Amino acid sequence: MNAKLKVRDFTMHGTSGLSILHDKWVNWVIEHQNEKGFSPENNYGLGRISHHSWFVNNDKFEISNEQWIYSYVLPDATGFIGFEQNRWENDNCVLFDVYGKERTRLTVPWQLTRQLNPKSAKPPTSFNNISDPYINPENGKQGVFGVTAWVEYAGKYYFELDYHTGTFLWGTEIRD
Amino acid sequence: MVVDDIAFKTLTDPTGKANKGRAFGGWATFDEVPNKSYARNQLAITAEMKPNIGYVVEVEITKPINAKIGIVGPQDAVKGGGNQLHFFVTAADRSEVFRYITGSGKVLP
Repeated sequence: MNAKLKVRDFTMHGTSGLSILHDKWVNWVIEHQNEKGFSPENNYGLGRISHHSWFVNNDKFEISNEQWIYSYVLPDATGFIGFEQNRWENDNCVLFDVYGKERTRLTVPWQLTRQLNPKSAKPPTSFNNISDPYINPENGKQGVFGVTAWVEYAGKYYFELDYHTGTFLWGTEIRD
Repeated sequence: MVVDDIAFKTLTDPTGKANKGRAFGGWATFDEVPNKSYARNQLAITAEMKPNIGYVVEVEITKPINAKIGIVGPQDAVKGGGNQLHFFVTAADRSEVFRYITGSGKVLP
């Protein structure tokens, strides 16, 4: 992997002609949510999402929304992390390179939970989303980057992830 | 319900690829939540529980469920005192029970 390559301007495009950067979406909703005609029915003004685009250097890449997996740009912009949020399997999280090519498929590390039950590997155990970092209960230090997952028999967990290697480092239960 | 920006993005996802039910927490309040300080102190949502608390949303409960309603107790250094609901619904089942009320999202100053 070339560390110099970075993703920029990750954008979603709607059939209304409107395009919005993924990382500006929340601001867009907050600013416009109470305007007339601004509703989930018209996807908050975007219409149907047709495709997503991003740049690597000056090259533009696109993927249709049909093919797209719900994704975020990694913190250092060296690729994406995606979640198949409607697939309740323990390998529904994928790391992509800057071009959107699958690099690693991750499996929920149920072995890092307190309730060690081999049945935990079965559905509905699955990843949820990225997460702000939690504190490692073992040493009191703040994590750097992680994901949340539902682990059957153990509950909802945060798992610290080294997204360069695809390695989970530790986990802590979330009581939210 | 107090949520972070990741959950709020999921709740309002326009792509059809997010599972909105997974964005809900297991706790809520009937209180008006004016700011982050109230959420951290009166609702005792500590940083250990939820690192980011940027937004508050209104949630509709779409079918009868069990919940424990009471006064927030102290957590670590914060004293609580607000009102809370603790839902007896696992994270995996929340999509069947909760619905985000469109337009209710507010940024917590």
